[in-house]
Amino acid sequence: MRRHALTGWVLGVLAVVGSGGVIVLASRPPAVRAVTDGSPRLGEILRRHTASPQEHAEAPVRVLAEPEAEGMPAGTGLSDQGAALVSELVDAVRGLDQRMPAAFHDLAYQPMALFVTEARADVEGVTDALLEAVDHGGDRDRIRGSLLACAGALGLVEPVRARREPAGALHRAAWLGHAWTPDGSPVDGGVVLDPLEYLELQPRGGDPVLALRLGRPPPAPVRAELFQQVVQPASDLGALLDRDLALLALGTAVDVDDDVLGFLRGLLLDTEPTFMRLRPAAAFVLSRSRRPEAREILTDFLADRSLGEHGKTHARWWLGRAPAMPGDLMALLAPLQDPSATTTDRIVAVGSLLPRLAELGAEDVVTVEEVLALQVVEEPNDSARLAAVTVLAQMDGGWMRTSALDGVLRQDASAHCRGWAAVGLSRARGNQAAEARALLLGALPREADPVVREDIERALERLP
Amino acid sequence: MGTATEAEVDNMVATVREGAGRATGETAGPAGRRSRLASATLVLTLALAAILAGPTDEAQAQFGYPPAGPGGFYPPPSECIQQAFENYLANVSRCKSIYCETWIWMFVVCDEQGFAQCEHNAQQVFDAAVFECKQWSVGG
Repeated sequence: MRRHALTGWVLGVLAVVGSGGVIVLASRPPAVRAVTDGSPRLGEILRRHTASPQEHAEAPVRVLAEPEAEGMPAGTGLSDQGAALVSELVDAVRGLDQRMPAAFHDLAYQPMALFVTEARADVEGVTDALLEAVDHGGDRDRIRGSLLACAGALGLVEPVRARREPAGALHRAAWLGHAWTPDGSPVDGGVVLDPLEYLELQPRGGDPVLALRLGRPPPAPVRAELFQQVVQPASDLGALLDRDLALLALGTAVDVDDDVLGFLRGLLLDTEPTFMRLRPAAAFVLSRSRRPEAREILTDFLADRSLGEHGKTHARWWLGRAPAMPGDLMALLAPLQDPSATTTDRIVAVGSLLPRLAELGAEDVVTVEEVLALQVVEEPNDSARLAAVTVLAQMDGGWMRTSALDGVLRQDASAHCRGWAAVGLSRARGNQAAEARALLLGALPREADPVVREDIERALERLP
Repeated sequence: MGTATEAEVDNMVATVREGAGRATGETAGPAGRRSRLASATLVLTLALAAILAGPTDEAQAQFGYPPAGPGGFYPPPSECIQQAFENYLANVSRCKSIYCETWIWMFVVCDEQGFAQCEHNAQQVFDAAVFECKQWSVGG
C-alpha cells in the first residue's frame, strides 16, 4: 500500500511537470502563428493579449467593445449577423468546460480573436483563415471543433469533410455546425434546440460540447447522414452523446419534415434498449415542436403504460416548459394521481407545473389546486410533500388552496412544509386575505419552531 | 446552472459507496475515512446553508443560484424554486447513470440500495435549496 502511495506521488509530480511543459509548448498553436505571420496587426494584438492569460481570454470581447483601443478602426464594425456570430462564438468557447485550466481556454480563444479581428477587415480573409486553421490547427481538438462548427455554420465545410472527421468532439462539432443558428432565431422553419439545456439533465459523456443553439434544418444530404448517425449502435457515453446530439441536429427539422416527425415517433414507441436510450432526446425535440401532431405523439407516449417508464420523467419536465396545448396538463398531473408513480416522478411532476402556473385558465387552476391540495395531505415522502406545498404556495387559488395550506400549517411534521404554507397564505388576496390572516394569527401561538414563527410573522406583515 | 451541485453528487456517491462498504462488513481504509470526511463536510455545509438566514456566497455556489447583484437583487422565488427542481432532476439523473446501468429487455435494473441512498441525498439537497428560496421569498 505504501509503495503504491509513493508511486502515485511520483507519477503525480511527473504529470504536473509534464502538463506544465505541454502548456508552455502549446501556448502558440501553429495555426495561429501561420495566420498571424501574414497579419502583423493581428499578430501584435494577439501577442499583447498572450502576455496575460486573463486579459487574453477577454480579447474577443474587448476588440468588439473598444475597437480603437485595440488598434482597430472604428466604424467598420461587423454586420448584425456577424456580431451575433461573434457573440455566439465567445459564449461557445466559454461554455466548453469551465473546469479546464485557463491555459487551455487561451488556446481556444486565440482563433476566436483571430476570427473577430479579421472579420472586421475582410470577410474573404475570414474564410481563408478559418479553413487554414481547420486544416492545420490539429494540436488542440477544441480549437478545431470550434472552427469546424463555425465553418459548418457558414457553409464552408461540405458534408464530405465532416464525414472524414473521426468520431468524438470534432465529428459532433462539424454536424452541429450545419444546424447552428448564430443569433438563436429559427431559420427556414427550424425548431430552436439548445443542446446544453438538454445535456444539463443527462449523464455527461466527458467530452466538451459546444454551446451552439440549433435552429436551422440541415441540408438534405446532411439530414440523410444524421438519420444514419442516430441509429448507429452505441454503448459508451461518448457514442451515446454523439447519437443524442445528432438527433437534436436532425430534430431542428421536425416542423418542416414529416420523415423526421415519423422517425421521432418510432423512437418513442420502440422498446429495443438501443433506441429506448434515445427517448429523452426525442422527447426534448418533440416538446419544442410547434406542431400539434408532435405534442400528441408526446402525450400518447406518456399515457402508454406498455412502453415502460424510461424517458418519461424527462419528457414531463420538458413538456411543462413548452407552451401549453390542449390536453397536456393532464399528462403533467398523471404521476400525482398514480399510486405506482415513484417519488422522483411525483416531485418532477409537481416541478413541471411551475412554468405553467402563470398561464393557467380558471378551470385549469381549479384542477391543479385540487390535485395539489390532495397531494399535500396524502403524500408520505417529506420532499415530495414539500414540493407540492411550495408550488401550491406559488399559485393562485381559492378556498381549497387556503384550506390545504392551513392543514399543513396545523399538522405537518415538517417545519419546511409549515414555513412554506405560511408563505403561501401570505399571498392570499381578495376575500381569501382576511381568512388567511385569521389562520396565521391562530397558528402563531401554537407554533414551536422559531424559524416557522418568523415565517408566520413575516407572512402577516405581507398580507394586505 | 446545475453544475454547482456536482461536488455534492460526488460526495453523495462517496457516502453511498462508504455505506455499501459498511453494509458488507468492509474495513474502512484511508479512502473510506476521506469519504467520511467529505460526507461530514457536505452535511455541515448543508446545515450551515440551512441555518443561515440570508443567501450567502456559499449557498449560492452550492445551489447554483445567480449571485445577488449590486442592488441586492435576488431571482424571484418561482425562478429559484424552478432551479431547485431542475437541480433535483439533474442529480437524480446522475444517480441513475451511476446505479442503474443494467438493461433487461426494456427495463432498467438498478442497484436498489445505492440508488435509494443517492436519491435520498438528492432530496436533502432539494429540501435545503427550497428552504433557501423561502428565505428569499419572505425577505429573510
